[in-house]
Amino acid sequence: MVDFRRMIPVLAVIAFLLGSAVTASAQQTLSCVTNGAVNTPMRAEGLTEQTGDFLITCTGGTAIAYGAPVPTVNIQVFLNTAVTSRLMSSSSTLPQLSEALLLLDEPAPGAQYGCPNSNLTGGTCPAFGNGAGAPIYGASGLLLASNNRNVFQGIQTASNSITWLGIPIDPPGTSGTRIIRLTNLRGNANQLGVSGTNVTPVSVFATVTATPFNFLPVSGLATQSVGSVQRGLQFGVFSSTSSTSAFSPGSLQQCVSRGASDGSVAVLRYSELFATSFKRRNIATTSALPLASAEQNSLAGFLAGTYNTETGFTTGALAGGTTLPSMGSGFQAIGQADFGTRLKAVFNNVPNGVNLFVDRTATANGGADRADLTASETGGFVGVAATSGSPASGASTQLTVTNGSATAVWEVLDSQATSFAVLNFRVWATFTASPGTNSPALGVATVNGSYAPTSTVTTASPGPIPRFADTSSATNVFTIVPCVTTLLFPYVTSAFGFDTGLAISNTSLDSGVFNTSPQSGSCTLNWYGASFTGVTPTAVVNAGTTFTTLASTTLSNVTGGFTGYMIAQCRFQYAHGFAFVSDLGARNLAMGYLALIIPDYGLGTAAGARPASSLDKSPLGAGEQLGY
Amino acid sequence: MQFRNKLPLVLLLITLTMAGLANAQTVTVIAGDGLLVRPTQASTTLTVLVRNAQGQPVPGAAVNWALSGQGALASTQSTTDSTGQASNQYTAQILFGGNFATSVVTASALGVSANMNIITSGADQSNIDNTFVSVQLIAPALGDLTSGAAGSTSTTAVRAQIFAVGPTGFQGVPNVLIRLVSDTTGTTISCSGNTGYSDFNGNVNCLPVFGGQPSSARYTVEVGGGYRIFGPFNFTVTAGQVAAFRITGGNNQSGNPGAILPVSLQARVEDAAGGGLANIPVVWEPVVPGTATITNASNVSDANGNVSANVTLGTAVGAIQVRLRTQTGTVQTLFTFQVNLTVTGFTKVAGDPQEAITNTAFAQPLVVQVTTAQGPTAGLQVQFTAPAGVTLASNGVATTNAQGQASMTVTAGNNPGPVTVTAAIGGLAVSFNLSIRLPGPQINLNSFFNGAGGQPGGVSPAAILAIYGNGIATGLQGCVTGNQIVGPLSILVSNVSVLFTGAGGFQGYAPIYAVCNLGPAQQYVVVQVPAELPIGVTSVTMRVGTGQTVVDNVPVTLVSPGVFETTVYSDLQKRAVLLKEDGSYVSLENPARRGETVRAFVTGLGRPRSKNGFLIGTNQGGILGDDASPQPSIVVGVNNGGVTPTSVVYAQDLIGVYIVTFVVPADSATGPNVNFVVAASLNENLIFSNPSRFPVQ
Repeated sequence: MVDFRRMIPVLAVIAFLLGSAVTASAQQTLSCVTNGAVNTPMRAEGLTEQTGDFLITCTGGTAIAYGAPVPTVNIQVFLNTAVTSRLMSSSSTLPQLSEALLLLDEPAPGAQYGCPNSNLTGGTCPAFGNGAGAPIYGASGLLLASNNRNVFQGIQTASNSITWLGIPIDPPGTSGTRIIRLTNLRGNANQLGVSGTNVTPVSVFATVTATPFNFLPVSGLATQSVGSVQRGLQFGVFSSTSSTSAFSPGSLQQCVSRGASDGSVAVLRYSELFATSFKRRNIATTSALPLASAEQNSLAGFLAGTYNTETGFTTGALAGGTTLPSMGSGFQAIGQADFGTRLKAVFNNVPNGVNLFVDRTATANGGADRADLTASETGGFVGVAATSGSPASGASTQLTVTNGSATAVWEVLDSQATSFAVLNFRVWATFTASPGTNSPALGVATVNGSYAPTSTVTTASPGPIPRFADTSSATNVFTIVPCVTTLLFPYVTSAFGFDTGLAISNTSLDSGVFNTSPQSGSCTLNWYGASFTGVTPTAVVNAGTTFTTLASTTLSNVTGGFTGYMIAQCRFQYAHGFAFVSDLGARNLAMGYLALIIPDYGLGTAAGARPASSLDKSPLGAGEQLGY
Repeated sequence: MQFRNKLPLVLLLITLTMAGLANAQTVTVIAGDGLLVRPTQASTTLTVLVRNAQGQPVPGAAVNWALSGQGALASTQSTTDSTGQASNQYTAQILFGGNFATSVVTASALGVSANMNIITSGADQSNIDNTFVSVQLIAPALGDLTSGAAGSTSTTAVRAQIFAVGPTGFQGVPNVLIRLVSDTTGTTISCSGNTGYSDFNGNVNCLPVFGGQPSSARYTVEVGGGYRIFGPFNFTVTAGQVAAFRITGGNNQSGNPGAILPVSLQARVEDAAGGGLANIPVVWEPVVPGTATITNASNVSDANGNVSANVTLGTAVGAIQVRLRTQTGTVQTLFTFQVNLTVTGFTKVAGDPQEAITNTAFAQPLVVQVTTAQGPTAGLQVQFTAPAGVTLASNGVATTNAQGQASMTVTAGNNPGPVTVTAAIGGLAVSFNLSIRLPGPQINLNSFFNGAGGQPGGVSPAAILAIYGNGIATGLQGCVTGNQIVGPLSILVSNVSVLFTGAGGFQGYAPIYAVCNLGPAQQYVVVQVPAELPIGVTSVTMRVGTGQTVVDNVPVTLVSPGVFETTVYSDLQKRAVLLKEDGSYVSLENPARRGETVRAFVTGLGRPRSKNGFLIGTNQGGILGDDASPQPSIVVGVNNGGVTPTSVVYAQDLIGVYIVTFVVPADSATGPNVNFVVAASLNENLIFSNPSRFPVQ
């Protein structure tokens, strides 16, 4: 039997010797560590959120001899969600060239040389050693090494992975470090969900592998957190730009016209939940020059956080006339975004006959943050002019309502990363009252607020960038309510040999006197008595006509007759009632009275409760209030 | 066999059984099970519901909490509120060095308990916000639309994997609960059964169950109570299969024919889960066509699944039904109504008035005619009511026949007297005036005797008649006379009356001389037969108190002579009553003498007629100055020889009595018992009186 106890000192000696050997050879061995990964806030609503860059820093090793080929490495990065960097092809079938880039040694603008080849399109860009491991890159020159490239385009090889094939890694030796930066990585933040409280962000992790490993021996944590997902937008509906209290949708009376001079019915408020959740498209984008664009190729700009745009690292100014396999163009070029952050309001169930207007522009933080209405959700920014005669003296624009739905999209043109933006957009609803033709129609309009454009494309695609999941929910924004006159007949009887004659006149026809708009509608007679409690309708009472009945006739089926009171709800204004109580044949006793008008607060709304006092004279747009 | 060894097992089984019976209460986890928490998360609320054996929430129950595993509870005991719920707070403990930890919280109350699994994620020691447990939502994808009928379960699962990648490598996280949370009130989506829990590998295959109102809505996938929230995703609940119509109003009303029922028929179209189904086409129809008219009916259910209709009743009376069904009729329900009867008329047809002897059925049933707006209606129930003691057939309920008539048999009770029986229907009523009497006297054709001579028969106009029978004078001792010494006779004496009914509608009460009860078989009444009684037969109705007896076909003869006799003779023998001219009565001591004129008293010689031709009526004496005589010839027999009376005159002061005056023949035999008879000559036939006698000297 082996005496293991005696072996322990031997093993310890061997381990010591092995450790000493590693330490002794550190000067010649290439060593790479992951560090400096930037953990970037990512919007939980976003499908194409920029992650932080992933950095690998290598030191040591033996620099490749002058003129010798630099060994190449395949570098692959994985996210724990879908990679949604722009595919630089109209096809989404993988593998495809991506806008994701690998940069060597932090090249400054003017020193960025693109590798035009990739294994996807035929070959890689060979590199040659300079003997010192120094960061020498270029597009031409007598020295072989002066033609080495430092900007490589990635290939999306899986839904959550980008691969760079044949990247030459020259060990820096004693010259310093070799820095590998993976940039233009976008991920589907929405796919990771969000914590219920939104307090603790959900991390986006990137994991890097290298093949062959000995050419890029990454130690330390190959997985780094490159993003923190949290909700970016808070949408709400308020009664005014300054209000913070809960919103109660306004009840707009069908019979009362609303024009441009009437106030807004609601304010749509889009608030940043972190300071960089509203971003303009490009550093050149401003409200004055919404389509202006500039290169964002300074790493210092990223590191300093001065970009904070929807656009990433651009390659429109590669040095030496170099290119990449698929550069794209315009706003669809590598790194570019199609537009800035967009905010969308979708109105639904807009009653027929209602005209909707919204603010064209909203600003915050003294104008440092601004969003303007644009013509479409997914097209390039096109400013929308004010509609003639629109509310707020040209500040608003009418929306096109189709089948009860209308959409407004604003794009962030100015943004400031050092403050929280709160953008308020007013909403107006105007209409010409025509209750006789049921216009506007009765109903409750709703609004959904979200980022835009919304999309269900959750994996990499040619665009657009940015895009978002629709996380909105509907909020009531206003209600068209019927015009009602409520009449109280305090005593009605058809019992004990008595009967009550009831008359309701629709006095909305007064042409030549007040020229009130005629209205028509039926009345609902609500009976409350010991022998009967129920509802009977009347026929339509046209303007200028009178509905009459006897209690005994309407309630002919009530055994023993009816005694109680009745509340008539007429679907028109200016109803007036009269009752005449008498014994049958009016031989002995008879008396008449005018029905009382119960103040109209708008039926069916929270504010529609019957006022406790008839002296309360603040109904919502009611007609006359004569019942006091 | 060693039964002793089995005893503990039996006791254990009994104990467990009893424990089972006693522990019918339940503790149900409302919130807390399947939680996935991060170490830094604030405390989480755990809630349980305690119900009693009847399934009702138990307020005020003590709930004991116990924790197995890491973390801490805010308290070890709490008390259920008014809804039977009790809560506690769980706070996770920071977990380094492990992927995750599972704690089990046990809530116990009323002897039962429930467990909650709470999973705490491990965290990176260098960054506590980096938790090891991750969630990957596999399905649905953004933009996917999940849809299904209300009450149905989708076969497309919401799939997720809860896993941890930490110090112990990759691990699935079991027992984490995911919930599907709808953003629209009334439109629901949830995981079926226990499909919302992750399995050992951390996989969840939640099968969505749709419910509530058909609508398009959104839902989020909430993992572990909010550890992760995914979505929103779209879902649509379509109208489910109709499982039932639930009546919510308007059933079991009643009304008059043609009336609109005051309350609308209301029902809710529901799926198997009890959710209302919108836009379901429905059909309303009377079960029997024509029995009701449906108006304002909902053709489809509204947003809440409600349908309604108004009903106008038809003319059919009684119970009618309206059916609410789906278009295919596979699901239906019935509303039942009562159509009130409209009685337009209610009259008596037969049976009023009438009389019956105590404890016997009235001879005629009481018959009523019900007239309704619908015409003669069979099957209507007429309610008869009567005073206590009077028996009505079928508990007083009679049903109309095809002619609308209802008949009721009534049986008299013990108590004599008037009785009112009332029949009622539809608010109308009629009364029958009935009378209950005691049983009448026991008389028959053999009860009639000449009032003077006592021979059977004796019923002839103006004759004095004796009617014998038990029950005529029950309780009476002796006689009660009917006159006032002078004046006419009464027709009601001692509650006895005698009515003669003859041909040609004749009816006449007999004047009564006396009502007597002289002992057994000696109850009788002495009356004058009405003078106007037609010859032939008569019905004699004798009423004694409330009882009466009718004897029909009593022969009525023109004459029925009878000689009044007396026993006042000294030898107490019965002989004719004879009056001498000096006013003295013939007696043994004062016998009639040959050649002497005497007067005999006779009845039954027929209706007297005066010389002037006036017919003497009932209860009348003879006419002064216009003597009335019998219409047939009268012959007197003395000592078996005929004697022509000197006069036969209807007595002026005696009702029903003739005075026959004759001369005792000179050659008459003498002695105390000379035969004497009076005969009437009819068609040359002599109708003899009772044979009598008198003393002659």
